[in-house]
Amino acid sequence: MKNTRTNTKTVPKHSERYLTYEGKFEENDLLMPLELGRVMYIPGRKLMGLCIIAKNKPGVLAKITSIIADAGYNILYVVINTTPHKVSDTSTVVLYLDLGENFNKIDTVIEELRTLNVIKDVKVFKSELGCLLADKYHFPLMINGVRAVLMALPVLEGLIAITQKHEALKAILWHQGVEVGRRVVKSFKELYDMRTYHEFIRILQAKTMSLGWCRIHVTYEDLQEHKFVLQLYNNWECEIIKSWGIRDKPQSMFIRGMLAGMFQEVFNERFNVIETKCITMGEPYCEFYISRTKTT
Amino acid sequence: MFIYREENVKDLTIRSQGKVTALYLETDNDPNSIIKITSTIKKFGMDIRNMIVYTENDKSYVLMYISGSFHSEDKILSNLKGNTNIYEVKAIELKSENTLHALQKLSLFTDPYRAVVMASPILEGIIECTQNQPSLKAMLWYQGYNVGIKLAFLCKEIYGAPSIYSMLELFKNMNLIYGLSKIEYVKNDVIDYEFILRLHNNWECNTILRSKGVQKEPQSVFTRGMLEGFFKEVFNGIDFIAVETKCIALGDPYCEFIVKPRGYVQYN
Repeated sequence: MKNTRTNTKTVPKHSERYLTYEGKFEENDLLMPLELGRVMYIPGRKLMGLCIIAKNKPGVLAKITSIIADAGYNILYVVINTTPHKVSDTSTVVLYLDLGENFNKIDTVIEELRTLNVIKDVKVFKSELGCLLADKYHFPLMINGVRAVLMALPVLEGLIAITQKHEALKAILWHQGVEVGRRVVKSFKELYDMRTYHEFIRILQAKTMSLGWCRIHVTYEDLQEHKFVLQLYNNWECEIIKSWGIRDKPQSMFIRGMLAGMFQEVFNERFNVIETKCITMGEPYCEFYISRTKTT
Repeated sequence: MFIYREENVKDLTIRSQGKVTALYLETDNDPNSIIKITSTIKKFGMDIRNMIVYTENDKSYVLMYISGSFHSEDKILSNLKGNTNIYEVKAIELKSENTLHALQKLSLFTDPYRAVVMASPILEGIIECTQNQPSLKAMLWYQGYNVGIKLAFLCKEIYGAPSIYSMLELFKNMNLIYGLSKIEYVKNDVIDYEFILRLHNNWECNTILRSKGVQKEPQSVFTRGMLEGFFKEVFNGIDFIAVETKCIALGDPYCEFIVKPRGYVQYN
């Protein structure tokens, strides 16, 4: 396979719906970071968190924010939780407030909130070290009823740092990726009733984006020969390695293994995944050529 | 005393049995703007399923999932767009049937770092391939060890924890925030360097219990490494060893670890 980017205009008809734009994403103008708000650290500021258990009724948030607005507190962050799978009669509202200099009113605000007939309970979490606010109320984290963990940069660095010291260990990281890829596709089948390659790609693009892994752009797909080219923007693995310095060859092990495991599970065949461009080499994205392993 | 509730990370992905629409809005940083938005949603009889508001400087960014009457969607959009405090209103495309993903968002952050979310299939995959060979478990331990060192660095250098006690408290919070486990310190002796930790809902052993069933010996490898790395960094280079004495994978209600400097631990 040639080590060059494929001209998207020559791609077969079946992939048209993924390639309506060249090099840019349709939703490009909307791209921006999403603050998850599990923890907020603002040195020099007096922060406080409220966790409010309320009736799941329209207008509840308006009542809560009105009381806080009247007290003059700046709301830094709000998250509302209801059970996504069913209609629930309870919502949880978590608010992070900047109390500024005027923190004497907060007790009155809490009392006022408690008197609302739509509110069942109000919990307060205070900041650590004065300016570090952490949501200590919600645990564990769940996505669609499945447990999840949040891997922030220190954790991700810890996961892949080992391979930077010992070249031989890169293979194990690749194997971890393969196992992850296979299990993820199995979960797509179970959760979303995924049956076809195109459904797989749609779910993969959505999930990798919404869970913060990367943005995937399919630039070539040949379903008869089983050859594919994927560009991964903001691939977390290679962005971390790049932060340790520019490299002279592609570095992805975990994600490369994951793609191999995924395609293997989708097509029930073994796949080769070659990284031809890499963020760690100064490229704007990581590019992977994915093809069926030839058997002799 | 907090009662722990499950956090649905619904801001990222949601599955629903009914019609769900996602809206993305940018407004001025004024609580009244949020009141206007939620009032509008209420006015048209829609229900806010999940919502995130994040403020930065003069702006607020709102991501919300609403459900209810299909016909109200356009009316809500035009009503919100007519509001001078709201700069931007976008409805997010439904990407697959009954499954809505916040596609317009990239790069998740949890202050101050980029983060990715790893759900159960991914966690199982990370652990699974190391289960068959002890040598591979060593790598998992080393991964955990590195994570522990990085978390200690986070507590010490980024959040500026002034004492060992505050570092231990932050470590407990970090584990909770990231959804790794809920730590309870049973013994916390910083003079004699002896610690006993109970890890409730430890993700690693929960994952093993779910995928492989009840085991005959403690299973924690990654978490053990994480504790050893963390304590080493906290105590400026002293080698610690963590021995798992109770384990969720054995059927215990929590994983329990004795953490002491290497050479001080009696294994039986």
